[in-house]
Amino acid sequence: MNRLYVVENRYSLTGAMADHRLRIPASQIPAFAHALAGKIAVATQDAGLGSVIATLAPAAGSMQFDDRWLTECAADLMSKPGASLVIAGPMQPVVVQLLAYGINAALKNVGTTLLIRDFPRNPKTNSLLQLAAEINADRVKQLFIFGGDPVYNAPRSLQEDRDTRKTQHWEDLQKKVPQVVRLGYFEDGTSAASHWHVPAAHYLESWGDALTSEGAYLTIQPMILPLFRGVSEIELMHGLLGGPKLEGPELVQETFRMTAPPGEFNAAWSQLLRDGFAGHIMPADKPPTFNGNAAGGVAHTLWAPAPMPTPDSPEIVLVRSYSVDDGRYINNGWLQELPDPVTKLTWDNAALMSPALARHHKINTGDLIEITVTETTLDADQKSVQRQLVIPIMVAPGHADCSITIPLGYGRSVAGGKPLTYSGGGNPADNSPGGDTIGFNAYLLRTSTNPHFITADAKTVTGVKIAKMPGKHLLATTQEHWSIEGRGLVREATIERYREDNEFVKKIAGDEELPPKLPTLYTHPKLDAPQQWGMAVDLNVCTGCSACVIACQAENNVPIVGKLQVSHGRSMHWLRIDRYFADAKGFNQDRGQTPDDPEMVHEPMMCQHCENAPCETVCPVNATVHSEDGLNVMAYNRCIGTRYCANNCPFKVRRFNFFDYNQRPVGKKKIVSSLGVYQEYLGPLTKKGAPDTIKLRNNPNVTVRMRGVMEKCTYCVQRIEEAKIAAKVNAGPSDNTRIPRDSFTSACAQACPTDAIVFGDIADPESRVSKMKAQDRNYRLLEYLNVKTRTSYLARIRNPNPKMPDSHEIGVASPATHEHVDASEGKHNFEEHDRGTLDESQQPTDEQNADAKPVPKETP
Amino acid sequence: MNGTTTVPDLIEAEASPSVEQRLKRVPLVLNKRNFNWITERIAGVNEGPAPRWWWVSFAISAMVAGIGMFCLGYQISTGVGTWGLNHPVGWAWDITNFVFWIGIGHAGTLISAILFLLRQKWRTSINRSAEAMTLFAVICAAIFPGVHVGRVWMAWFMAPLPNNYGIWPNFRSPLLWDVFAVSTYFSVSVLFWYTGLIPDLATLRDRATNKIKKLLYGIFAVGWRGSNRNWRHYEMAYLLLAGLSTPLVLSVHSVVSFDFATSVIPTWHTTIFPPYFVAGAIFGGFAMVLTLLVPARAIYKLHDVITPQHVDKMAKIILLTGSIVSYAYAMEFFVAWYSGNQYEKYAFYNRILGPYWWYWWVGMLFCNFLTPQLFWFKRFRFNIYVVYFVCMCVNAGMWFERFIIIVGGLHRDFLPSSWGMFYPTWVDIWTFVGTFGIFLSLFLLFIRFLPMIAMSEVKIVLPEADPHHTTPEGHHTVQAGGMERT
Repeated sequence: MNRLYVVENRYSLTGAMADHRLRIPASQIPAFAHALAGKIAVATQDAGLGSVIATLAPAAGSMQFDDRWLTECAADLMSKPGASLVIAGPMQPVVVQLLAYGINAALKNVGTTLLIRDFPRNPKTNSLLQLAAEINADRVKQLFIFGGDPVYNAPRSLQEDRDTRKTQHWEDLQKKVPQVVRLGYFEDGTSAASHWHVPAAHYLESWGDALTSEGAYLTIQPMILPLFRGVSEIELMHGLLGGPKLEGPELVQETFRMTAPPGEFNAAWSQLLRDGFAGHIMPADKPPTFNGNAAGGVAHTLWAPAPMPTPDSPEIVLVRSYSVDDGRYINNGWLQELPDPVTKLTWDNAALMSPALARHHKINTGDLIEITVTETTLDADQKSVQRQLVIPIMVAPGHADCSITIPLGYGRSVAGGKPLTYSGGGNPADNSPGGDTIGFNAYLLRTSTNPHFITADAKTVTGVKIAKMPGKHLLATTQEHWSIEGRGLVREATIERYREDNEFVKKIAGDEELPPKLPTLYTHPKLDAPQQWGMAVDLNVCTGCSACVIACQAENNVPIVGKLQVSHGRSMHWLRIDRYFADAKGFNQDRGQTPDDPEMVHEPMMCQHCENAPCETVCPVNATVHSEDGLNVMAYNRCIGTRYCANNCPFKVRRFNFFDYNQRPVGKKKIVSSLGVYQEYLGPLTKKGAPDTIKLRNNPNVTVRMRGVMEKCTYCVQRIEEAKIAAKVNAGPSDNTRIPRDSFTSACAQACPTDAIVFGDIADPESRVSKMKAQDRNYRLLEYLNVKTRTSYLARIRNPNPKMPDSHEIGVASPATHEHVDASEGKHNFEEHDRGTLDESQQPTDEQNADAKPVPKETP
Repeated sequence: MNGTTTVPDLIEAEASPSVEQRLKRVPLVLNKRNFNWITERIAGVNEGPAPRWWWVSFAISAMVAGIGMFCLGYQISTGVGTWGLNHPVGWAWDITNFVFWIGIGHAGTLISAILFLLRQKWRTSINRSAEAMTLFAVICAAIFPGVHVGRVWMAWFMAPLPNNYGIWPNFRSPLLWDVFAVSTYFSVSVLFWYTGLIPDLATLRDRATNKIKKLLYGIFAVGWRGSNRNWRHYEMAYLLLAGLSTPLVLSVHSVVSFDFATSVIPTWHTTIFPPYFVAGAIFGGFAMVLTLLVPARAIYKLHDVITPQHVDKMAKIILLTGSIVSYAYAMEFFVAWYSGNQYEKYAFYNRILGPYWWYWWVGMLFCNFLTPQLFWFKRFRFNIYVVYFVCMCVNAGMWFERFIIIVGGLHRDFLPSSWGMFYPTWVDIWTFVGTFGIFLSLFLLFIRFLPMIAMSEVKIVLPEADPHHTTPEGHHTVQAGGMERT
């Protein structure tokens, strides 16, 4: 089993998957890389890495790392030469990338785990800074902007004005150009500062081609004709070159022709369209050419380790948002309402900080702070440039101390602070005068010298200050409680424990005490269809990325409800991802305790399709019943909305339409006699009907639900029915109407990048889902309720390095064993109720950990 | 059986001349009020002009009821989202109010049916108002399950109507049992109340001073003449209806408790619920009876009919049922601990120390357990201010109890990821306040137009109604039982 070490400042999804995670400020990553590379260079005697290290002086004032952590991590890496890999994050400076490459070279990974590919790149591309200089020198007469939104996200203070010496942002520069033509999806801030706006065709509306990061050539094929007569980038480019207007794939064919496809062109073209990629273009690996001496020279000039940030002058880390990326998806309602996989925040960004830093500044989640970055550069009045941002904070367990992470991409607006028009999910424009932009624009802090990390390094920034502002900001999260309360919901173990007892999942939450067959009072419908549907979710490979959530929303016409309704706990996601923090020390969330360095686990949660479903018995009108193939089905037309089923659902996966989300405007403020009222509260006073774009978005195979109706995951029943119909059609006169094994799957399973979700026929022992369920890690939730869920989970196995100082703190999300639960039962009292993880008495005491004493983490 | 003179007593009295001292009991009607006084005093309330306080009270009540109706209309037209409900709290004030009101009704039925069968003659002074209160409370209660559904216009799906799709309601659902239980309860209560009203309606008809009154009271008095035949049929019907109502006192709230008891949610899934709910209903209902009657008797100077011993007896019932309820509270905690079930244990930990902790400490512990302990002392049972304070506490406490059971159970159940909080909106609050407006408006209309005390029944328990009654002067005063003509 592989082992993952992650060193990061904030909890990322990769960090959640790590076996060992070290939280340090991002500005200290170079120092860490240097320290790690030093250990490896000494041990491996690698000349290349050694010469790089030799040129870099360890920085004074940098963070001191736990030597045991470093030593054991390095030893672990070196124990697997050619089978390990060190990756530096894309935001890390070149010197860290060089060190990572050097370490990989020293570990003999280059060519085995690290492949280097030559990527075709146009050498004539210039940076935005160069363009800004050209504009400032009045050498640009006409500017075409394809996509992007530089007015919003270009680095601040690009150039000084030649006459006034005043600092200019991109917007000022763009306005200096005599003619600006903009091709964009939306009329945003850049369009407002342009002379012409050309509507861009979406990639699903246009022909195109692309290279993957691996170097494969593939086509972009339109699904529909452009809805709003937009043109694609290559079409506009073609037009600028004087070409005639084209509506077909001619331009792409021209490029494809240049790749010299084998055989007759039309056949090759058809093959390309069918496959989606060009098989005859094989990306070639480049032979490794790491020159330690040359790299050492480069590294030496770039080496600028930052001093350790302090609680009063923390670093600011600007990252791309998990859902809206750099801001390009900000007006996509689905992505806005997608809970951030780590913080579970929707419709907003926030400054993430560790509990310790929040305590230091006496602030808490939702409080507004003003961040002031003082730069070394001077403005026209010879004063230090200061950049300020007011943003709410969010306490993030597992975040490094003295560090603040702000997701970018929010606070995007058109000129004058007017928010962008929102689309994509039943949530039309919030463009009333009283409307707010969504989130906070962290680009205001971003300059070209400090694009990712802002820390008081004395070279560019002299100080970062935080001041509490009056007022609070409503942050709408979908999960308030992150303690698992010692319940065996997410089950995990270290690999040692799993090897000792591969049936460990059966011994959690008292499952082994249950009688083999619990009696039942009711006669249940017979599950006698030849094919029985079920699902397995492998928590070992689920990263919590949330692609399934969006896939489910798209497939099943799940409406979005807007920030206010999310904050009221009314989000409609049929599939949610539960995120829990677990800590070996145990903590009581009810008493406001927050762990500093917990582990994070994810658990996709959707209708479990209980065979003995509590929701079915309580519905007074038989609106939710069981099908012969094991589905817990909803008859929307029959539902009167008593919500009794949702109350009685132990998994709380049923979703109620509190408003007419599909018919009436939602999340949009309307001014009623100077009071801003959200339109969902105006019901019949609002205009009924959805825009055409929203209607077109909907899956025609799935009913759109009205208000007052309960809904929930159906296991994508429309896909099951589609497969059944196809099987019947294929069967013809024969009676073989069985759906071929694993021939279709649910939307979530289809979207899952790691195949963590597997759906299929559990009556067929050879199906993938049956094989998953046959594994010894398989368990069902809340077995004691005798609900007999059709969805089961596969326990997570962690692989900590027993020699690491934190090895005993890994794999603690579920109670250690059932024996331990019993042992604690006698002394259970209410105060201790959620010391859910390991008590002192339950600490592993085996030989491997006998010498493992907790080493204090680096603290500010 | 105090306060009445029975036949064996009289036999004994004839045997011994000293019996007069031995049997000296507090009479049910004080100050030796006679039949005429009763008729004049009680029918006089309906016959005189409506006092100013009545108009003021009615205007306020009707306005509050109107706001409540507006809230209902708004909620139905716009969506259940106008209330504070969410995931995971699918029921909150709506069902809390439903259980609260339906519980209040139970005292009326207990007084009129069970106490009738047990020959508790003191019930006669309070049964009419208590039954009226039952009906109005059930009307208020019925609003909530009616409108809390997402699609009110489809609520008829709950009716077992034969249809060509062959779709029936789900007879396994406690919510459907509720529909049957509450509708049966309401129908029987209306019949019972109306039957008891007939002799008094005839009195009002006979005393009516104008044609309209005479016509209306006459129609509803269904030709009552006070004949022996009338009385025989009436008393048999009343007895039968009392018999029919008696199981309903126990069954309706048991069925309501099944809404929770048959679920899987920790703190709901409890076998103790049916008796616990029934006791709680009577507990809360008696408090509400006193809440209404104490001011009414002060305003209409009915102290001779609703005497301190009536208040005392009701206080004792509050103490008894309050003790049962408190025992149930304690038992819930014991069972949660004894079960060893971590979800149950957490749920009860959360009840007393979770986000809704003060609901338990104030509502259940102080209002429902501590304040009725005052009724162990006679001094307090006879102090009308203490009684009224305890009753108000119990009224509030019983609402809190239902809220804790419903929201406390739902807001933190099995998966901590789903835990949430419930915050009421102005629509929640005004819908609930509006039902008080409806309740009080109906009650004010009732005391205005119908005799709030069963005149005929009170007369039956007067000493003079007994054919063997002898005044100290030694002569009979009136013929047995019959209705008085004036």
